[in-house]
Amino acid sequence: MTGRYLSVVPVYPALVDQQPAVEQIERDEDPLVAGLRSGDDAGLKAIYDAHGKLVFSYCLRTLGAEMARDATQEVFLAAWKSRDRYRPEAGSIPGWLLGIARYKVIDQTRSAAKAGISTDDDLEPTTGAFAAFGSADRTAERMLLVEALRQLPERSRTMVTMAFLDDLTHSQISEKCGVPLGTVKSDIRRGLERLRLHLEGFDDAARS
Amino acid sequence: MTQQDRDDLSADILDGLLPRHEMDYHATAMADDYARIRSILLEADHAELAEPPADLWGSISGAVAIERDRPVVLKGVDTAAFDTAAFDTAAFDTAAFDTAAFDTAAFDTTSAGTASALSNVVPISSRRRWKPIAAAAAVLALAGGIVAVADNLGDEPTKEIASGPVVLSAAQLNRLEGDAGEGSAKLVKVNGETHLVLTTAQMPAPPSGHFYELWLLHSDGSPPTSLGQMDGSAGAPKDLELVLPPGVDPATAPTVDISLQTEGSNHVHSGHSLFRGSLA
Repeated sequence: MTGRYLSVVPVYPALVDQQPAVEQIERDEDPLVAGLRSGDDAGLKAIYDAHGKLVFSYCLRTLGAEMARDATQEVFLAAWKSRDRYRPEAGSIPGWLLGIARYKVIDQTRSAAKAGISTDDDLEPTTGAFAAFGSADRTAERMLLVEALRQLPERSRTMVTMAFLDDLTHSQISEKCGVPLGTVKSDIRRGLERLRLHLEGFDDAARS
Repeated sequence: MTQQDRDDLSADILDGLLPRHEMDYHATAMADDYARIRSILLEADHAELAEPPADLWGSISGAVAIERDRPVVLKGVDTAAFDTAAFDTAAFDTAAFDTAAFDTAAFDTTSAGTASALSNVVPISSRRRWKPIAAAAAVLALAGGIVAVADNLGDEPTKEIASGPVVLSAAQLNRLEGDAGEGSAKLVKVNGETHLVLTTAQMPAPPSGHFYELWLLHSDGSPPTSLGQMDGSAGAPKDLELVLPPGVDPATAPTVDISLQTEGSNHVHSGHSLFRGSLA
Protein backbone atom coordinates (compact mmCIF):
# COMPACT_ATOMS: atom_id res chain seq x y z
CA MET A 1 0.00 0.00 0.00
CA THR A 2 1.12 3.52 -0.45
CA GLY A 3 0.80 4.24 3.24
CA ARG A 4 1.36 7.94 2.83
CA TYR A 5 -1.52 8.80 5.08
CA LEU A 6 -0.90 6.13 7.66
CA SER A 7 1.31 8.24 9.85
CA VAL A 8 -1.39 10.81 10.07
CA VAL A 9 -4.40 8.56 10.10
CA PRO A 10 -3.55 5.23 11.74
CA VAL A 11 -7.03 3.80 11.41
CA TYR A 12 -9.50 5.44 9.12
CA PRO A 13 -10.30 8.37 11.34
CA ALA A 14 -13.86 8.77 10.22
CA LEU A 15 -14.54 5.42 11.81
CA VAL A 16 -12.96 6.59 15.02
CA ASP A 17 -15.21 9.59 15.14
CA GLN A 18 -18.40 8.16 13.80
CA GLN A 19 -18.32 4.56 14.88
CA PRO A 20 -15.90 4.36 17.81
CA ALA A 21 -12.93 2.77 16.13
CA VAL A 22 -14.63 -0.35 14.90
CA GLU A 23 -11.54 -1.74 13.27
CA GLN A 24 -9.28 -0.83 16.15
CA ILE A 25 -11.57 -2.49 18.65
CA GLU A 26 -11.75 -5.58 16.49
CA ARG A 27 -8.00 -5.78 16.29
CA ASP A 28 -7.34 -5.10 19.96
CA GLU A 29 -9.87 -7.61 21.11
CA ASP A 30 -9.20 -10.22 18.51
CA PRO A 31 -8.85 -13.45 20.47
CA LEU A 32 -6.66 -14.79 17.71
CA VAL A 33 -4.10 -12.09 18.45
CA ALA A 34 -4.15 -12.89 22.16
CA GLY A 35 -3.85 -16.59 21.36
CA LEU A 36 -0.93 -16.00 19.05
CA ARG A 37 0.88 -13.94 21.63
CA SER A 38 0.33 -16.50 24.34
CA GLY A 39 2.45 -18.96 22.41
CA ASP A 40 0.38 -21.88 23.55
CA ASP A 41 -0.89 -24.65 21.35
CA ALA A 42 -4.52 -23.60 21.58
CA GLY A 43 -3.72 -20.11 20.36
CA LEU A 44 -1.88 -21.34 17.33
CA LYS A 45 -4.55 -23.95 16.67
CA ALA A 46 -7.21 -21.23 16.59
CA ILE A 47 -5.21 -19.36 13.99
CA TYR A 48 -4.69 -22.54 12.01
CA ASP A 49 -8.41 -23.27 12.12
CA ALA A 50 -9.21 -19.76 10.93
CA HIS A 51 -6.54 -19.36 8.26
CA GLY A 52 -4.95 -22.75 7.64
CA LYS A 53 -6.99 -23.25 4.48
CA LEU A 54 -5.82 -19.95 3.08
CA VAL A 55 -2.15 -20.64 3.80
CA PHE A 56 -2.35 -24.20 2.54
CA SER A 57 -4.20 -23.15 -0.59
CA TYR A 58 -1.61 -20.50 -1.33
CA CYS A 59 1.22 -23.01 -0.92
CA LEU A 60 -0.70 -25.54 -2.97
CA ARG A 61 -1.29 -23.09 -5.75
CA THR A 62 2.28 -21.87 -5.88
CA LEU A 63 4.27 -24.97 -4.96
CA GLY A 64 2.10 -27.95 -5.81
CA ALA A 65 0.72 -30.74 -3.67
CA GLU A 66 4.04 -32.32 -2.87
CA MET A 67 5.56 -29.28 -1.23
CA ALA A 68 2.45 -27.50 0.02
CA ARG A 69 2.16 -29.52 3.17
CA ASP A 70 5.72 -28.91 4.37
CA ALA A 71 5.56 -25.27 3.39
CA THR A 72 2.36 -24.76 5.35
CA GLN A 73 3.93 -26.41 8.38
CA GLU A 74 6.92 -24.12 8.08
CA VAL A 75 4.70 -21.06 7.81
CA PHE A 76 2.90 -21.82 11.05
CA LEU A 77 6.10 -22.76 12.80
CA ALA A 78 7.68 -19.49 11.67
CA ALA A 79 4.57 -17.62 12.77
CA TRP A 80 4.79 -19.20 16.19
CA LYS A 81 8.45 -18.35 16.49
CA SER A 82 7.89 -14.80 15.30
CA ARG A 83 4.70 -14.23 17.24
CA ASP A 84 6.16 -11.34 19.20
CA ARG A 85 6.75 -9.51 15.97
CA TYR A 86 3.17 -9.53 14.82
CA ARG A 87 1.73 -6.05 15.08
CA PRO A 88 -2.06 -5.94 14.84
CA GLU A 89 -1.94 -2.27 14.02
CA ALA A 90 0.13 -3.04 10.95
CA GLY A 91 -2.33 -5.41 9.35
CA SER A 92 -4.38 -8.55 9.59
CA ILE A 93 -3.21 -11.98 10.72
CA PRO A 94 -4.00 -13.66 7.39
CA GLY A 95 -2.07 -10.94 5.60
CA TRP A 96 0.87 -11.49 7.93
CA LEU A 97 0.69 -15.26 7.47
CA LEU A 98 0.76 -14.98 3.71
CA GLY A 99 3.64 -12.55 4.03
CA ILE A 100 5.55 -15.33 5.78
CA ALA A 101 4.29 -17.89 3.30
CA ARG A 102 5.57 -15.76 0.44
CA TYR A 103 9.12 -16.22 1.67
CA LYS A 104 8.65 -19.92 2.19
CA VAL A 105 7.31 -20.26 -1.32
CA ILE A 106 10.19 -18.32 -2.78
CA ASP A 107 12.71 -20.26 -0.71
CA GLN A 108 11.28 -23.65 -1.60
CA THR A 109 10.93 -22.74 -5.23
CA ARG A 110 14.56 -21.77 -5.37
CA SER A 111 15.63 -24.93 -3.54
CA ALA A 112 13.54 -27.08 -5.86
CA ALA A 113 15.02 -25.38 -8.89
CA LYS A 114 18.54 -26.01 -7.60
CA ALA A 115 17.74 -29.62 -6.87
CA GLY A 116 16.32 -30.04 -10.35
CA ILE A 117 12.87 -30.90 -9.10
CA SER A 118 10.34 -30.30 -11.79
CA THR A 119 7.16 -28.52 -10.93
CA ASP A 120 3.66 -28.79 -12.16
CA ASP A 121 2.90 -26.70 -15.22
CA ASP A 122 -0.51 -25.91 -13.83
CA LEU A 123 0.91 -24.01 -10.91
CA GLU A 124 1.08 -20.29 -10.58
CA PRO A 125 4.04 -18.77 -12.39
CA THR A 126 6.13 -18.46 -9.22
CA THR A 127 7.37 -21.97 -9.79
CA GLY A 128 9.77 -23.39 -12.28
CA ALA A 129 12.12 -20.69 -13.43
CA PHE A 130 11.20 -18.65 -10.43
CA ALA A 131 10.56 -15.68 -12.62
CA ALA A 132 10.01 -13.01 -10.04
CA PHE A 133 9.08 -12.40 -6.47
CA GLY A 134 6.24 -10.36 -7.88
CA SER A 135 4.36 -13.43 -8.96
CA ALA A 136 4.32 -14.83 -5.45
CA ASP A 137 3.17 -11.45 -4.24
CA ARG A 138 0.41 -11.15 -6.76
CA THR A 139 -0.94 -14.61 -6.07
CA ALA A 140 -0.93 -13.91 -2.34
CA GLU A 141 -2.65 -10.57 -2.77
CA ARG A 142 -5.37 -12.05 -4.94
CA MET A 143 -6.06 -14.87 -2.54
CA LEU A 144 -6.00 -12.56 0.45
CA LEU A 145 -8.50 -10.16 -1.00
CA VAL A 146 -10.84 -12.82 -2.28
CA GLU A 147 -10.83 -14.41 1.15
CA ALA A 148 -11.29 -11.06 2.84
CA LEU A 149 -14.20 -10.33 0.54
CA ARG A 150 -15.79 -13.62 1.50
CA GLN A 151 -15.51 -12.71 5.16
CA LEU A 152 -17.29 -9.37 4.81
CA PRO A 153 -20.85 -9.01 6.04
CA GLU A 154 -23.17 -9.86 3.18
CA ARG A 155 -24.40 -6.35 2.46
CA SER A 156 -20.93 -4.90 2.49
CA ARG A 157 -19.66 -7.72 0.31
CA THR A 158 -22.43 -7.15 -2.18
CA MET A 159 -21.75 -3.46 -2.40
CA VAL A 160 -17.99 -3.83 -2.70
CA THR A 161 -18.51 -6.41 -5.41
CA MET A 162 -20.91 -4.14 -7.25
CA ALA A 163 -18.56 -1.21 -6.97
CA PHE A 164 -15.31 -2.96 -7.82
CA LEU A 165 -16.20 -5.89 -9.99
CA ASP A 166 -19.39 -4.73 -11.61
CA ASP A 167 -18.15 -1.16 -11.80
CA LEU A 168 -21.39 0.40 -10.65
CA THR A 169 -21.41 3.92 -9.26
CA HIS A 170 -22.46 4.57 -5.70
CA SER A 171 -25.70 6.02 -6.95
CA GLN A 172 -26.46 2.96 -9.03
CA ILE A 173 -25.72 0.69 -6.06
CA SER A 174 -27.97 2.84 -3.91
CA GLU A 175 -30.80 2.41 -6.39
CA LYS A 176 -30.18 -1.28 -6.95
CA CYS A 177 -30.00 -2.14 -3.27
CA GLY A 178 -32.65 0.32 -2.17
CA VAL A 179 -30.49 1.89 0.50
CA PRO A 180 -29.50 5.52 1.00
CA LEU A 181 -26.37 6.76 -0.74
CA GLY A 182 -24.72 7.45 2.61
CA THR A 183 -25.21 3.84 3.64
CA VAL A 184 -23.65 2.66 0.42
CA LYS A 185 -20.60 4.81 1.00
CA SER A 186 -20.36 3.75 4.60
CA ASP A 187 -20.61 0.03 3.80
CA ILE A 188 -18.09 0.25 1.00
CA ARG A 189 -15.74 2.26 3.12
CA ARG A 190 -15.80 -0.28 5.93
CA GLY A 191 -15.49 -3.15 3.52
CA LEU A 192 -12.50 -1.61 1.84
CA GLU A 193 -10.88 -0.92 5.16
CA ARG A 194 -11.07 -4.62 5.96
CA LEU A 195 -9.56 -5.53 2.63
CA ARG A 196 -6.84 -2.98 3.06
CA LEU A 197 -5.88 -4.44 6.44
CA HIS A 198 -5.14 -7.74 4.78
CA LEU A 199 -2.86 -6.16 2.25
CA GLU A 200 -1.14 -4.14 4.95
CA GLY A 201 -0.46 -7.27 6.97
CA PHE A 202 1.06 -8.84 3.91
CA ASP A 203 3.11 -5.75 3.12
CA ASP A 204 4.28 -5.51 6.71
CA ALA A 205 5.56 -9.08 6.72
CA ALA A 206 7.19 -8.55 3.36
CA ARG A 207 8.99 -5.47 4.64
CA SER A 208 10.17 -7.05 7.88
CA MET B 1 -16.91 2.42 -8.90
CA THR B 2 -15.76 5.33 -10.95
CA GLN B 3 -12.65 7.35 -10.30
CA GLN B 4 -14.92 10.08 -9.10
CA ASP B 5 -16.51 7.66 -6.64
CA ARG B 6 -13.11 6.69 -5.31
CA ASP B 7 -12.07 10.29 -4.95
CA ASP B 8 -15.34 11.17 -3.28
CA LEU B 9 -15.08 8.25 -0.91
CA SER B 10 -11.55 9.12 0.09
CA ALA B 11 -12.43 12.77 0.54
CA ASP B 12 -15.50 11.78 2.52
CA ILE B 13 -13.45 9.68 4.91
CA LEU B 14 -10.83 12.31 5.48
CA ASP B 15 -13.14 15.30 5.54
CA GLY B 16 -12.73 17.36 8.68
CA LEU B 17 -9.81 15.34 9.93
CA LEU B 18 -7.03 16.98 8.07
CA PRO B 19 -6.27 20.48 6.96
CA ARG B 20 -7.63 21.06 3.51
CA HIS B 21 -4.18 21.43 1.98
CA GLU B 22 -3.16 17.99 3.29
CA MET B 23 -6.36 16.27 2.42
CA ASP B 24 -5.85 16.14 -1.30
CA TYR B 25 -2.50 14.46 -0.86
CA HIS B 26 -3.79 11.79 1.52
CA ALA B 27 -7.02 11.31 -0.35
CA THR B 28 -5.02 10.60 -3.46
CA ALA B 29 -2.97 8.00 -1.60
CA MET B 30 -6.12 6.38 -0.33
CA ALA B 31 -7.62 6.40 -3.78
CA ASP B 32 -4.45 4.72 -5.00
CA ASP B 33 -4.96 1.94 -2.47
CA TYR B 34 -8.51 1.50 -3.62
CA ALA B 35 -7.31 1.30 -7.18
CA ARG B 36 -4.83 -1.36 -6.16
CA ILE B 37 -7.53 -3.37 -4.43
CA ARG B 38 -9.75 -3.09 -7.45
CA SER B 39 -7.01 -4.21 -9.76
CA ILE B 40 -6.25 -7.25 -7.62
CA LEU B 41 -9.90 -8.22 -7.26
CA LEU B 42 -10.50 -7.93 -10.97
CA GLU B 43 -7.82 -10.45 -11.82
CA ALA B 44 -8.59 -12.86 -8.97
CA ASP B 45 -10.22 -16.14 -9.89
CA HIS B 46 -12.30 -16.43 -6.71
CA ALA B 47 -11.63 -20.16 -6.55
CA GLU B 48 -12.57 -22.00 -3.40
CA LEU B 49 -9.81 -22.74 -0.92
CA ALA B 50 -8.44 -26.24 -0.60
CA GLU B 51 -8.83 -28.26 2.57
CA PRO B 52 -5.47 -29.03 4.20
CA PRO B 53 -4.62 -32.67 4.95
CA ALA B 54 -6.37 -33.82 8.10
CA ASP B 55 -3.15 -34.58 9.92
CA LEU B 56 -1.37 -31.35 9.04
CA TRP B 57 -2.20 -29.64 12.30
CA GLY B 58 -0.70 -32.59 14.18
CA SER B 59 2.54 -32.12 12.29
CA ILE B 60 2.57 -28.40 13.02
CA SER B 61 1.84 -28.97 16.67
CA GLY B 62 4.61 -31.54 16.85
CA ALA B 63 7.10 -29.22 15.19
CA VAL B 64 6.21 -26.45 17.61
CA ALA B 65 6.58 -28.82 20.56
CA ILE B 66 10.09 -29.69 19.44
CA GLU B 67 10.90 -26.06 18.84
CA ARG B 68 9.88 -25.14 22.36
CA ASP B 69 12.80 -27.17 23.60
CA ARG B 70 15.19 -25.94 20.98
CA PRO B 71 18.59 -25.13 22.40
CA VAL B 72 19.12 -21.45 22.80
CA VAL B 73 21.79 -19.69 20.86
CA LEU B 74 24.72 -18.64 22.89
CA LYS B 75 27.43 -16.09 23.21
CA GLY B 76 27.48 -13.23 20.82
CA VAL B 77 24.52 -14.32 18.83
CA ASP B 78 21.39 -12.37 18.34
CA THR B 79 18.80 -15.01 19.00
CA ALA B 80 16.23 -12.85 17.30
CA ALA B 81 18.05 -13.48 14.08
CA PHE B 82 17.03 -17.08 14.26
CA ASP B 83 13.44 -16.14 14.65
CA THR B 84 13.35 -13.95 11.61
CA ALA B 85 14.39 -16.45 9.04
CA ALA B 86 11.01 -16.21 7.49
CA PHE B 87 11.50 -12.55 6.83
CA ASP B 88 15.16 -12.44 6.06
CA THR B 89 15.58 -11.55 2.44
CA ALA B 90 19.30 -12.12 2.82
CA ALA B 91 18.42 -15.80 2.94
CA PHE B 92 17.83 -15.59 -0.76
CA ASP B 93 21.23 -14.18 -1.46
CA THR B 94 23.36 -16.91 0.01
CA ALA B 95 24.57 -18.14 -3.31
CA ALA B 96 27.63 -19.76 -1.79
CA PHE B 97 25.42 -22.18 0.09
CA ASP B 98 23.16 -24.59 -1.62
CA THR B 99 20.27 -24.79 0.74
CA ALA B 100 18.71 -27.60 -1.19
CA ALA B 101 21.78 -29.67 -0.63
CA PHE B 102 21.62 -29.20 3.11
CA ASP B 103 18.45 -31.17 3.40
CA THR B 104 19.12 -33.76 0.81
CA ALA B 105 22.81 -34.54 1.02
CA ALA B 106 23.50 -38.09 1.97
CA PHE B 107 24.96 -38.36 5.39
CA ASP B 108 28.45 -39.76 5.34
CA THR B 109 27.86 -42.95 7.18
CA THR B 110 31.27 -44.31 6.35
CA SER B 111 33.30 -42.05 8.50
CA ALA B 112 30.70 -41.48 11.12
CA GLY B 113 29.64 -45.04 11.46
CA THR B 114 26.05 -43.97 11.67
CA ALA B 115 24.35 -46.32 9.34
CA SER B 116 20.74 -45.75 10.05
CA ALA B 117 17.86 -43.84 11.48
CA LEU B 118 19.06 -40.36 10.64
CA SER B 119 15.50 -39.46 9.92
CA ASN B 120 14.58 -40.04 13.52
CA VAL B 121 13.95 -36.96 15.55
CA VAL B 122 16.52 -36.51 18.24
CA PRO B 123 14.72 -36.92 21.53
CA ILE B 124 13.95 -33.66 23.20
CA SER B 125 15.50 -34.90 26.38
CA SER B 126 18.82 -35.24 24.68
CA ARG B 127 18.90 -31.62 23.64
CA ARG B 128 20.59 -29.15 25.87
CA ARG B 129 20.96 -25.51 26.15
CA TRP B 130 24.41 -24.21 26.52
CA LYS B 131 25.92 -21.50 28.49
CA PRO B 132 29.17 -20.40 27.06
CA ILE B 133 32.21 -19.76 29.05
CA ALA B 134 34.86 -17.34 28.05
CA ALA B 135 38.13 -18.64 26.80
CA ALA B 136 39.83 -17.45 29.93
CA ALA B 137 37.43 -19.40 32.08
CA ALA B 138 38.07 -22.52 30.10
CA VAL B 139 41.75 -22.08 30.60
CA LEU B 140 41.13 -21.80 34.29
CA ALA B 141 39.12 -24.96 34.22
CA LEU B 142 41.81 -26.89 32.54
CA ALA B 143 44.32 -25.49 34.95
CA GLY B 144 42.37 -26.72 37.92
CA GLY B 145 40.55 -23.56 38.80
CA ILE B 146 36.89 -23.00 39.50
CA VAL B 147 34.74 -22.64 36.47
CA ALA B 148 31.16 -22.14 35.59
CA VAL B 149 29.93 -24.84 33.30
CA ALA B 150 27.07 -25.36 31.00
CA ASP B 151 23.97 -26.25 32.88
CA ASN B 152 21.31 -28.58 31.75
CA LEU B 153 18.43 -26.81 30.00
CA GLY B 154 19.94 -23.46 30.75
CA ASP B 155 17.53 -22.38 33.45
CA GLU B 156 19.11 -23.95 36.46
CA PRO B 157 21.64 -22.16 38.59
CA THR B 158 25.11 -22.37 37.18
CA LYS B 159 27.15 -24.90 39.02
CA GLU B 160 30.56 -24.30 40.37
CA ILE B 161 32.97 -27.12 40.41
CA ALA B 162 35.82 -27.10 42.80
CA SER B 163 37.82 -30.11 41.92
CA GLY B 164 40.55 -30.07 39.34
CA PRO B 165 39.66 -31.29 35.85
CA VAL B 166 41.42 -34.13 34.11
CA VAL B 167 41.68 -34.23 30.35
CA LEU B 168 40.51 -37.66 29.21
CA SER B 169 40.98 -37.29 25.49
CA ALA B 170 41.33 -34.66 22.82
CA ALA B 171 40.76 -34.40 19.12
CA GLN B 172 41.45 -31.97 16.36
CA LEU B 173 38.33 -31.46 14.27
CA ASN B 174 38.92 -32.00 10.60
CA ARG B 175 37.44 -29.51 8.23
CA LEU B 176 35.27 -31.39 5.76
CA GLU B 177 34.71 -28.58 3.34
CA GLY B 178 35.71 -25.02 2.69
CA ASP B 179 38.87 -23.41 3.93
CA ALA B 180 37.71 -21.39 6.90
CA GLY B 181 37.53 -22.23 10.56
CA GLU B 182 39.22 -24.66 12.85
CA GLY B 183 38.21 -26.54 15.94
CA SER B 184 39.24 -28.99 18.59
CA ALA B 185 37.46 -30.87 21.31
CA LYS B 186 38.45 -32.25 24.68
CA LEU B 187 36.76 -34.57 27.10
CA VAL B 188 37.39 -33.43 30.62
CA LYS B 189 36.50 -35.14 33.86
CA VAL B 190 35.40 -32.57 36.38
CA ASN B 191 34.20 -33.52 39.82
CA GLY B 192 32.92 -36.85 38.57
CA GLU B 193 31.18 -35.41 35.49
CA THR B 194 32.36 -35.68 31.93
CA HIS B 195 32.52 -32.36 30.16
CA LEU B 196 33.06 -31.67 26.52
CA VAL B 197 35.11 -28.57 25.82
CA LEU B 198 34.91 -27.32 22.28
CA THR B 199 37.26 -24.69 20.93
CA THR B 200 36.61 -23.06 17.59
CA ALA B 201 38.30 -20.23 15.76
CA GLN B 202 37.76 -18.33 12.56
CA MET B 203 34.42 -19.97 11.97
CA PRO B 204 32.50 -18.21 9.22
CA ALA B 205 29.06 -17.05 10.23
CA PRO B 206 26.41 -19.47 9.05
CA PRO B 207 24.36 -18.23 6.12
CA SER B 208 21.14 -16.54 6.97
CA GLY B 209 18.46 -19.04 7.93
CA HIS B 210 21.02 -21.59 9.08
CA PHE B 211 22.96 -22.38 12.20
CA TYR B 212 25.67 -24.69 13.46
CA GLU B 213 24.84 -27.62 15.66
CA LEU B 214 27.17 -29.82 17.65
CA TRP B 215 26.65 -33.57 17.67
CA LEU B 216 28.11 -36.75 18.99
CA LEU B 217 27.99 -39.56 16.45
CA HIS B 218 27.52 -43.06 17.79
CA SER B 219 29.68 -45.85 16.53
CA ASP B 220 26.79 -48.33 16.69
CA GLY B 221 24.78 -46.54 14.06
CA SER B 222 22.16 -45.09 16.35
CA PRO B 223 20.95 -41.56 15.64
CA PRO B 224 23.39 -38.76 16.39
CA THR B 225 22.93 -37.01 19.70
CA SER B 226 22.56 -33.28 19.50
CA LEU B 227 24.57 -31.42 22.11
CA GLY B 228 23.19 -28.04 21.19
CA GLN B 229 22.95 -25.21 18.80
CA MET B 230 26.18 -23.29 18.54
CA ASP B 231 27.12 -19.71 18.65
CA GLY B 232 26.74 -18.44 15.14
CA SER B 233 29.03 -15.45 15.31
CA ALA B 234 32.08 -15.48 13.16
CA GLY B 235 35.70 -14.92 13.81
CA ALA B 236 37.19 -14.85 17.26
CA PRO B 237 38.23 -18.01 19.08
CA LYS B 238 35.70 -19.25 21.54
CA ASP B 239 35.26 -22.08 23.97
CA LEU B 240 32.11 -23.86 24.89
CA GLU B 241 31.84 -26.37 27.67
CA LEU B 242 28.98 -28.61 28.60
CA VAL B 243 28.27 -31.62 30.68
CA LEU B 244 27.49 -34.60 28.49
CA PRO B 245 23.83 -35.59 28.58
CA PRO B 246 22.93 -38.55 30.77
CA GLY B 247 23.29 -41.81 28.96
CA VAL B 248 25.73 -40.47 26.42
CA ASP B 249 28.91 -42.45 26.69
CA PRO B 250 31.84 -41.03 24.76
CA ALA B 251 33.17 -44.54 24.46
CA THR B 252 30.24 -45.44 22.22
CA ALA B 253 29.69 -41.94 20.79
CA PRO B 254 33.24 -40.84 20.17
CA THR B 255 32.86 -38.63 17.12
CA VAL B 256 32.36 -34.91 17.50
CA ASP B 257 30.56 -33.39 14.54
CA ILE B 258 29.55 -29.86 13.66
CA SER B 259 26.81 -29.60 11.09
CA LEU B 260 25.13 -26.80 9.23
CA GLN B 261 21.41 -26.91 9.91
CA THR B 262 18.55 -25.15 8.22
CA GLU B 263 16.49 -23.06 10.56
CA GLY B 264 12.99 -24.43 10.91
CA SER B 265 13.85 -27.85 9.55
CA ASN B 266 13.21 -31.06 11.41
CA HIS B 267 15.59 -31.66 14.23
CA VAL B 268 17.71 -34.26 12.64
CA HIS B 269 21.24 -34.03 11.44
CA SER B 270 21.13 -32.24 8.12
CA GLY B 271 23.77 -34.47 6.62
CA HIS B 272 25.85 -31.41 5.97
CA SER B 273 28.85 -31.85 8.25
CA LEU B 274 31.47 -29.15 8.34
CA PHE B 275 33.88 -30.45 11.00
CA ARG B 276 34.44 -33.82 12.51
CA GLY B 277 36.92 -35.48 14.82
CA SER B 278 37.16 -38.59 16.96
CA LEU B 279 37.77 -38.54 20.67
CA ALA B 280 38.41 -42.26 20.74
